[in-house]
Amino acid sequence: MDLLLDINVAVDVCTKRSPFYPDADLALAKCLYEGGRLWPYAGSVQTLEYVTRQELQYQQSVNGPPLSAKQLGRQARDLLKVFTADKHWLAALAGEGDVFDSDDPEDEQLVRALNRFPPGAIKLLTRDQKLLDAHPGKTITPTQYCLLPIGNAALEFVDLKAQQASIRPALAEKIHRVLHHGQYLTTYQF
Amino acid sequence: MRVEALYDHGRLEFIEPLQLRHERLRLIVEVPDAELVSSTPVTHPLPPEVLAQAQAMRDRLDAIRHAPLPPDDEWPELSAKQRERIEAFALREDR
Repeated sequence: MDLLLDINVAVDVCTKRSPFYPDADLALAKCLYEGGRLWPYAGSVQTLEYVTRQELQYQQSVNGPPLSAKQLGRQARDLLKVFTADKHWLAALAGEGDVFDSDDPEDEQLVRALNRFPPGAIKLLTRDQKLLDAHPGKTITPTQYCLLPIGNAALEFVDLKAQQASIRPALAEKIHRVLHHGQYLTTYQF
Repeated sequence: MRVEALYDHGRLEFIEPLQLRHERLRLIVEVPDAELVSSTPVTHPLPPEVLAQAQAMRDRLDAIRHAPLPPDDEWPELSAKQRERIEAFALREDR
Protein backbone atom coordinates (compact mmCIF):
# COMPACT_ATOMS: atom_id res chain seq x y z
CA MET A 1 0.00 0.00 0.00
CA ASP A 2 1.19 3.50 -0.85
CA LEU A 3 0.69 6.49 1.46
CA LEU A 4 -0.26 10.02 0.51
CA LEU A 5 1.26 12.27 3.16
CA ASP A 6 -0.89 14.93 4.76
CA ILE A 7 0.88 18.11 5.83
CA ASN A 8 0.54 17.39 9.55
CA VAL A 9 2.38 14.06 9.29
CA ALA A 10 5.15 15.46 7.11
CA VAL A 11 5.65 18.32 9.55
CA ASP A 12 5.64 15.90 12.51
CA VAL A 13 8.57 14.05 10.95
CA CYS A 14 10.49 17.06 9.65
CA THR A 15 10.31 19.04 12.88
CA LYS A 16 10.36 16.11 15.34
CA ARG A 17 7.04 17.28 16.73
CA SER A 18 6.20 15.56 20.00
CA PRO A 19 4.40 13.35 20.76
CA PHE A 20 3.59 12.52 17.16
CA TYR A 21 6.92 11.99 15.39
CA PRO A 22 7.88 8.48 16.63
CA ASP A 23 4.82 6.81 15.13
CA ALA A 24 5.05 8.94 11.99
CA ASP A 25 8.71 7.93 11.54
CA LEU A 26 7.82 4.27 11.93
CA ALA A 27 4.82 4.46 9.61
CA LEU A 28 6.91 5.89 6.78
CA ALA A 29 9.67 3.32 7.31
CA LYS A 30 7.11 0.48 7.43
CA CYS A 31 5.56 1.61 4.15
CA LEU A 32 8.94 1.55 2.42
CA TYR A 33 9.79 -1.83 3.96
CA GLU A 34 6.57 -3.27 2.54
CA GLY A 35 7.43 -1.98 -0.93
CA GLY A 36 5.00 0.94 -0.75
CA ARG A 37 5.65 4.45 -2.00
CA LEU A 38 5.38 7.70 -0.08
CA TRP A 39 3.71 10.59 -1.89
CA PRO A 40 3.84 14.21 -0.81
CA TYR A 41 1.31 16.23 -2.82
CA ALA A 42 2.90 18.76 -5.16
CA GLY A 43 -0.03 21.12 -4.69
CA SER A 44 0.84 21.45 -1.01
CA VAL A 45 4.44 22.64 -1.35
CA GLN A 46 3.80 26.16 -0.11
CA THR A 47 1.74 24.96 2.83
CA LEU A 48 4.37 22.36 3.66
CA GLU A 49 7.15 24.94 3.69
CA TYR A 50 5.40 27.56 5.75
CA VAL A 51 3.79 25.18 8.25
CA THR A 52 7.18 23.52 8.79
CA ARG A 53 8.68 26.94 9.36
CA GLN A 54 5.89 27.87 11.74
CA GLU A 55 6.36 24.71 13.80
CA LEU A 56 10.13 25.28 14.00
CA GLN A 57 9.42 28.81 15.21
CA TYR A 58 7.07 27.48 17.87
CA GLN A 59 9.62 24.94 19.07
CA GLN A 60 12.33 27.59 19.16
CA SER A 61 10.10 29.84 21.24
CA VAL A 62 9.70 27.04 23.79
CA ASN A 63 13.18 25.51 23.75
CA GLY A 64 15.34 28.35 22.42
CA PRO A 65 17.73 29.73 21.42
CA PRO A 66 15.56 31.71 19.00
CA LEU A 67 16.43 31.69 15.33
CA SER A 68 15.90 34.66 13.07
CA ALA A 69 13.15 34.66 10.45
CA LYS A 70 15.72 34.02 7.77
CA GLN A 71 17.37 31.16 9.66
CA LEU A 72 14.00 29.52 10.31
CA GLY A 73 13.18 29.67 6.62
CA ARG A 74 16.52 28.15 5.68
CA GLN A 75 16.23 25.34 8.21
CA ALA A 76 12.68 24.53 7.07
CA ARG A 77 13.79 24.25 3.46
CA ASP A 78 16.84 22.13 4.35
CA LEU A 79 14.66 19.72 6.31
CA LEU A 80 12.09 19.44 3.54
CA LYS A 81 14.78 18.89 0.94
CA VAL A 82 16.11 15.88 2.83
CA PHE A 83 12.65 14.64 3.79
CA THR A 84 11.33 14.63 0.22
CA ALA A 85 14.51 13.29 -1.39
CA ASP A 86 13.40 9.64 -1.30
CA LYS A 87 9.71 10.31 -1.93
CA HIS A 88 7.59 10.68 -5.05
CA TRP A 89 5.82 13.95 -5.69
CA LEU A 90 2.19 13.40 -6.61
CA ALA A 91 1.37 15.99 -9.25
CA ALA A 92 -1.73 18.10 -8.80
CA LEU A 93 -4.09 17.58 -11.75
CA ALA A 94 -6.60 19.98 -13.27
CA GLY A 95 -9.50 18.03 -11.79
CA GLU A 96 -8.18 18.85 -8.34
CA GLY A 97 -8.43 22.59 -8.92
CA ASP A 98 -12.19 23.06 -8.84
CA VAL A 99 -12.61 22.47 -5.12
CA PHE A 100 -14.06 25.78 -3.96
CA ASP A 101 -17.48 24.39 -3.15
CA SER A 102 -15.82 22.25 -0.52
CA ASP A 103 -15.66 23.29 3.14
CA ASP A 104 -11.93 22.63 3.03
CA PRO A 105 -10.50 22.95 -0.50
CA GLU A 106 -7.05 21.81 0.61
CA ASP A 107 -8.35 18.57 2.08
CA GLU A 108 -10.68 18.05 -0.87
CA GLN A 109 -7.68 18.11 -3.21
CA LEU A 110 -5.99 15.32 -1.27
CA VAL A 111 -9.10 13.16 -1.23
CA ARG A 112 -9.61 13.63 -4.97
CA ALA A 113 -5.97 12.73 -5.60
CA LEU A 114 -6.55 9.40 -3.84
CA ASN A 115 -9.23 8.55 -6.39
CA ARG A 116 -6.59 8.21 -9.12
CA PHE A 117 -5.25 5.04 -7.52
CA PRO A 118 -6.88 1.60 -7.64
CA PRO A 119 -9.10 0.86 -4.62
CA GLY A 120 -7.04 -0.13 -1.59
CA ALA A 121 -3.74 0.80 -3.24
CA ILE A 122 -3.22 3.98 -1.23
CA LYS A 123 -4.38 5.74 1.92
CA LEU A 124 -3.99 9.27 3.16
CA LEU A 125 -1.71 9.25 6.20
CA THR A 126 -3.07 11.96 8.48
CA ARG A 127 -3.81 12.98 12.06
CA ASP A 128 -6.63 15.29 10.95
CA GLN A 129 -9.66 13.97 12.82
CA LYS A 130 -12.07 15.69 10.46
CA LEU A 131 -10.57 13.88 7.48
CA LEU A 132 -10.40 10.59 9.37
CA ASP A 133 -14.07 10.84 10.32
CA ALA A 134 -15.23 11.93 6.86
CA HIS A 135 -13.22 9.34 4.90
CA PRO A 136 -12.58 6.33 7.13
CA GLY A 137 -11.88 4.00 4.21
CA LYS A 138 -9.38 6.31 2.59
CA THR A 139 -7.45 7.61 5.57
CA ILE A 140 -5.29 6.17 8.32
CA THR A 141 -3.26 7.57 11.21
CA PRO A 142 0.43 6.75 11.64
CA THR A 143 -0.42 4.81 14.80
CA GLN A 144 -3.12 2.77 13.05
CA TYR A 145 -0.78 2.07 10.16
CA CYS A 146 1.96 0.83 12.51
CA LEU A 147 -0.54 -1.60 14.04
CA LEU A 148 -1.46 -3.19 10.70
CA PRO A 149 0.16 -6.58 10.17
CA ILE A 150 3.33 -6.38 8.15
CA GLY A 151 2.58 -6.89 4.46
CA ASN A 152 4.98 -8.76 2.26
CA ALA A 153 6.85 -6.79 -0.32
CA ALA A 154 6.17 -8.89 -3.39
CA LEU A 155 9.32 -9.05 -5.50
CA GLU A 156 8.14 -8.65 -9.06
CA PHE A 157 9.98 -10.34 -11.90
CA VAL A 158 9.96 -7.13 -13.92
CA ASP A 159 9.43 -4.26 -11.49
CA LEU A 160 7.79 -1.72 -13.78
CA LYS A 161 6.68 0.35 -10.80
CA ALA A 162 10.27 0.93 -9.71
CA GLN A 163 11.39 1.57 -13.27
CA GLN A 164 8.63 4.12 -13.74
CA ALA A 165 9.44 5.78 -10.41
CA SER A 166 12.96 6.56 -11.57
CA ILE A 167 11.72 8.49 -14.62
CA ARG A 168 8.34 9.64 -13.32
CA PRO A 169 8.96 13.44 -13.28
CA ALA A 170 10.23 13.41 -16.87
CA LEU A 171 7.42 11.09 -17.93
CA ALA A 172 4.75 13.33 -16.39
CA GLU A 173 6.26 16.39 -18.05
CA LYS A 174 6.18 14.76 -21.50
CA ILE A 175 2.61 13.54 -21.04
CA HIS A 176 1.56 17.07 -20.20
CA ARG A 177 3.49 18.47 -23.16
CA VAL A 178 1.56 16.16 -25.49
CA LEU A 179 -1.72 17.12 -23.83
CA HIS A 180 -0.95 20.80 -24.30
CA HIS A 181 0.08 20.78 -27.96
CA GLY A 182 -2.51 18.17 -28.88
CA GLN A 183 -0.39 16.59 -31.62
CA TYR A 184 -0.76 12.98 -30.67
CA LEU A 185 0.53 11.32 -33.81
CA THR A 186 3.17 13.50 -35.39
CA THR A 187 5.46 14.25 -32.45
CA TYR A 188 7.67 11.66 -30.86
CA GLN A 189 7.87 12.72 -27.20
CA PHE A 190 8.78 9.50 -25.51
CA MET B 1 7.39 -4.49 46.81
CA ARG B 2 9.28 -2.16 44.47
CA VAL B 3 12.62 -3.44 43.14
CA GLU B 4 15.14 -2.28 40.58
CA ALA B 5 15.77 -4.35 37.45
CA LEU B 6 17.91 -4.13 34.36
CA TYR B 7 16.41 -4.57 30.89
CA ASP B 8 18.90 -6.17 28.50
CA HIS B 9 17.86 -7.21 24.99
CA GLY B 10 14.41 -8.45 25.91
CA ARG B 11 15.28 -9.88 29.36
CA LEU B 12 14.68 -8.35 32.78
CA GLU B 13 17.16 -9.06 35.57
CA PHE B 14 16.82 -7.93 39.17
CA ILE B 15 19.75 -5.87 40.37
CA GLU B 16 19.53 -7.56 43.79
CA PRO B 17 18.72 -11.31 43.55
CA LEU B 18 15.31 -12.23 44.96
CA GLN B 19 14.00 -15.54 46.19
CA LEU B 20 10.57 -16.04 44.57
CA ARG B 21 7.96 -18.72 45.18
CA HIS B 22 7.21 -19.26 41.46
CA GLU B 23 9.34 -19.55 38.34
CA ARG B 24 6.90 -17.45 36.29
CA LEU B 25 4.85 -14.51 37.52
CA ARG B 26 3.30 -11.26 36.36
CA LEU B 27 5.13 -7.99 37.16
CA ILE B 28 4.35 -4.34 36.48
CA VAL B 29 7.31 -2.48 35.02
CA GLU B 30 7.85 1.26 34.91
CA VAL B 31 9.56 2.24 31.64
CA PRO B 32 11.10 5.74 31.36
CA ASP B 33 9.23 7.75 28.69
CA ALA B 34 12.52 8.84 27.17
CA GLU B 35 13.33 5.23 26.30
CA LEU B 36 10.18 4.71 24.23
CA VAL B 37 10.62 4.81 20.48
CA SER B 38 6.84 4.82 20.15
CA SER B 39 4.00 5.13 22.62
CA THR B 40 2.04 2.71 20.45
CA PRO B 41 1.39 -0.68 22.04
CA VAL B 42 2.67 -2.61 19.07
CA THR B 43 0.69 -5.80 18.66
CA HIS B 44 2.53 -6.64 15.47
CA PRO B 45 6.17 -5.92 16.31
CA LEU B 46 7.92 -4.04 13.56
CA PRO B 47 10.95 -5.74 12.02
CA PRO B 48 14.39 -4.41 12.93
CA GLU B 49 14.81 -3.20 9.35
CA VAL B 50 11.85 -0.85 9.82
CA LEU B 51 13.25 0.49 13.08
CA ALA B 52 16.65 0.97 11.45
CA GLN B 53 15.14 2.77 8.46
CA ALA B 54 13.12 5.06 10.71
CA GLN B 55 16.21 5.79 12.78
CA ALA B 56 18.29 6.52 9.68
CA MET B 57 15.78 9.14 8.51
CA ARG B 58 15.57 10.55 12.03
CA ASP B 59 19.37 10.87 12.15
CA ARG B 60 19.46 12.69 8.80
CA LEU B 61 16.80 15.17 9.91
CA ASP B 62 18.32 15.63 13.38
CA ALA B 63 21.65 16.43 11.78
CA ILE B 64 20.02 19.35 9.97
CA ARG B 65 18.09 20.52 13.02
CA HIS B 66 21.26 20.56 15.10
CA ALA B 67 23.62 21.94 12.48
CA PRO B 68 24.87 25.44 13.27
CA LEU B 69 23.30 28.00 10.96
CA PRO B 70 25.35 30.76 9.37
CA PRO B 71 24.81 34.22 10.84
CA ASP B 72 21.67 36.05 9.88
CA ASP B 73 23.40 38.61 7.70
CA GLU B 74 24.66 35.89 5.35
CA TRP B 75 21.12 35.16 4.14
CA PRO B 76 19.23 37.29 1.64
CA GLU B 77 16.53 39.52 3.11
CA LEU B 78 13.00 38.13 3.22
CA SER B 79 10.82 39.57 0.51
CA ALA B 80 7.56 41.34 1.27
CA LYS B 81 5.74 38.37 -0.27
CA GLN B 82 7.51 35.95 2.06
CA ARG B 83 6.67 38.08 5.10
CA GLU B 84 3.01 38.20 4.09
CA ARG B 85 2.94 34.43 3.74
CA ILE B 86 4.59 33.95 7.12
CA GLU B 87 1.92 36.14 8.70
CA ALA B 88 -0.86 34.33 6.85
CA PHE B 89 0.32 30.85 7.80
CA ALA B 90 0.73 31.94 11.42
CA LEU B 91 -3.08 32.03 11.50
CA ARG B 92 -3.35 28.31 10.67
CA GLU B 93 -4.07 25.75 13.35
CA ASP B 94 -1.82 22.86 12.42
CA ARG B 95 -0.66 21.50 15.71
